[in-house]
Amino acid sequence: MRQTILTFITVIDPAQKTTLKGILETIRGNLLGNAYIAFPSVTRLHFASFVIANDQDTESLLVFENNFDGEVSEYLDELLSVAGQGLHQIYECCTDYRGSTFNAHHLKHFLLEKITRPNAFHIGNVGRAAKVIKDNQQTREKLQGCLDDIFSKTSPGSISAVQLRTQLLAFASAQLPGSSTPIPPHETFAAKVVNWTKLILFVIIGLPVLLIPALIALPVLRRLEKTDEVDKTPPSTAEVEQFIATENHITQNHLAVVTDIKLPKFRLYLLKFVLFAVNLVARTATNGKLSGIPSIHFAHWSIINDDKQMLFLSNYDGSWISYLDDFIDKAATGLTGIWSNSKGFPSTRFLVLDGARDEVRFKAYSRNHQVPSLVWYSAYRDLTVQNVDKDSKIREGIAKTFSESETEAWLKLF
Amino acid sequence: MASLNFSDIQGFVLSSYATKMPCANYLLLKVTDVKACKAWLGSIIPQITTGTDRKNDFSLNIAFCATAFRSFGFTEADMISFSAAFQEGMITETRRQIMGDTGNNKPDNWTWGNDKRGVDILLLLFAIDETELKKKLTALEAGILESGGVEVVQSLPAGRQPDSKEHFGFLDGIGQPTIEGTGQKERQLTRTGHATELKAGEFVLGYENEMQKIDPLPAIAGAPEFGKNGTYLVFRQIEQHVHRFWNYVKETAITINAQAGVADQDKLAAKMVGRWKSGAPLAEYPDADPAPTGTNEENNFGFAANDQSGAKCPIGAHIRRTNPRDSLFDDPKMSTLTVRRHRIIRRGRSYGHRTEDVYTDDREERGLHFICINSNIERQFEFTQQTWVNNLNFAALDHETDPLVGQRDPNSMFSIQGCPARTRIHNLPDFVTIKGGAYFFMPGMAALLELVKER
Repeated sequence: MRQTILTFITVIDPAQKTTLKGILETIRGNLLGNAYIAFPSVTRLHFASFVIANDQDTESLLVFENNFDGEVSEYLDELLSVAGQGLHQIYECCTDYRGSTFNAHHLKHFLLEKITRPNAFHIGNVGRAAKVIKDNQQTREKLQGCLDDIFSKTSPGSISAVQLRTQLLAFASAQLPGSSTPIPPHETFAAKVVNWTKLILFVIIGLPVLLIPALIALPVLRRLEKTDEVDKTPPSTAEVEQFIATENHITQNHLAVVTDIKLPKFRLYLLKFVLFAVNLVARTATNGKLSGIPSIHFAHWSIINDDKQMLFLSNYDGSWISYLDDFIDKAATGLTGIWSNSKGFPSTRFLVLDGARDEVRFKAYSRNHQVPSLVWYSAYRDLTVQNVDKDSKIREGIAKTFSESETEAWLKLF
Repeated sequence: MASLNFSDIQGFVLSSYATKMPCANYLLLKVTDVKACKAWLGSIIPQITTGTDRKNDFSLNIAFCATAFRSFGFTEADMISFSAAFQEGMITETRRQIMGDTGNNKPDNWTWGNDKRGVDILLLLFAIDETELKKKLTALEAGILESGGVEVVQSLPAGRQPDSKEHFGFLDGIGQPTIEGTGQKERQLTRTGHATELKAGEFVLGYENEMQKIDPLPAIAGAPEFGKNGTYLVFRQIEQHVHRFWNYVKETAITINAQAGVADQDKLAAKMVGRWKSGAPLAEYPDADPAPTGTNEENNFGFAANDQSGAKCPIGAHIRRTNPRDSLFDDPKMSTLTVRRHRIIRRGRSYGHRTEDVYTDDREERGLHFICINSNIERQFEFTQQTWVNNLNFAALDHETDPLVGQRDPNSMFSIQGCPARTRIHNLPDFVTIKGGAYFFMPGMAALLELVKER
């Protein structure tokens, strides 16, 4: 199942901003059971969020992030059938939304016009549908319970791997209907080949072609880098506390960052190019890792607001500080290449050097440009990217015929 | 390599004094009158042990909470140059959440460090024996009383058990990193055959750290290098419920194997810790303690090549969560590099009498005065707590925390990887309870003199 990542970005009517914030606060107060959006009923949905960009300015933007299965049209049909009335009330607070009564067709049309597709994105578990992820978790939890039962009666030393698997499979076929029907592969071989081909073509054709423009651009870039202003303000303790208060309630966390793209326009083109390249590389990510970072479910970068700003949205596992440290240790080059085109970023050389490697400044920069996740929903609140992967392997292994060593490897997944 | 200014660094940053001075006492003080307090401080500064003093009989060191600095006249512009965690203190909502200080561990229940019994200053006393300790303690307490500027909130005696084992019965303090430029590496190599040397900036402010940067240096009006040669000191009083631990182990060993004897109990406990009672690591000695009556400080091991699956040392074992070495990711080199940025140096000591019978609740309090030093509380101590110890999904585990010191919920579990599959133990109770704690700053000697000046 192909996944889609996008945002709907709308301009907030200043007169309605308080009402809008009130609605979002109500949703946040009862995320799973509020009257506006019954998120758990949207079966295609993985993660969703509402954030406000440029809240201090006269023109603020409402960003509605959606990471879901399938194509946008079917997704919107499902979303609007579950939450049409609620979304209608939300978008009544935005400009160019006309219609005082709810009309699903009208709202769908409105949202389709407000789509921003990411310039670059990453998906941790490519092609695994939200419903399948949740089913796999249940299957694994029941099998784990069965395993605990077996070991409460039989000592682990007295049972072989093959015997143990036989008992687990017997339990699955009796207690977990449907668990032995094979599920379709989450990513086709053809799709992988296409993604790799694009990347290789880019490297062998695109890069040589770009060599001459790059040689011209480099001195320009270096001159700009030397005069770029670095944001040296330490983050406000009160603001950071507010962020931390919303973090670490479930396994994953959400990060929304809005930055201003540097001038002159040269920076915008450079940014678009870097994001294009990052996106090609991200399509070939293996084992769910983005540049070696194993903890991102969905992340994306979009150029928004008439090419003036960059929006970064990420749904990641574990603490904010471990996420940022992972960035610095494993992906400093790529993300410096991206953010060095944003105002205030720690100083860089040749686009990708230094920058994020300045740990303290980089963390301060991230907090200073973070915007509050006013509403944030996760469909599987206690699973990491790695958990999802393990669960899938357990589930996929039920229907397979295994050798002894494969059986042993499968049992290690529990 | 950084050349450290040893005479400006307090001795405790460089040494635990454990071998020469096994007896200790921690005095937690509250400032009652700023002027008188500063005068008293000025009088004890000459007694503070520095990194160049080679003391054998007695050492004295000192550290301060943010509350002390504020009462001394530091402005908010001064305070903002310190670590955010230090500025806030340990008991804010944010810190509780990061540390998991909820339920039984909530600061309301603490005996010190909370709103009811706040502390400002920490004095650390170390002596060659109890007589010397008592003599020095009496003199200091008399000076405190006389000063009229500061009072004792809590006096915490501590000691090093003659066999270096903590109350659960395990050899403690083995896998410590060493500081570059101090000669510690060579000494540890001789002792254990292995040493992890880290950049001085991980533990002493003003020097380069493992990221080739210098952590933010606290600066105050008139003293832009106030933080130089200082460090942050984390103090947590951790009560250990020894009888609860060993009774749980005993009962659980029997549920795994009805015939379980003492050896099976020791093995289960070792699986939770990651080392045998002697200190020998399970990753190297998976089947039995190689030194059942002695000690084994072996530290020259990793998990990646030899035990990535956790069949020897469980993935969630205490020593593997608190120091995952090369096993954090599937790339051992990257893992080692990452782990180096999150190390702490532990300088704690046990308190309370050793129990006579580990299965009996003798109603006496005992535990560990956990103390550690680090340059960046958030990246080092708090990171370890939040991202490793209390992380329910650490290393793709599912709904587990550290089996020894982790935060509990109604069905806390621990997986012991093995053949043909993992066994899993359930309903782990709290084996420890936090009784007090605070974040301190341990200044360099020049900064101490700056501190007593009028502001």
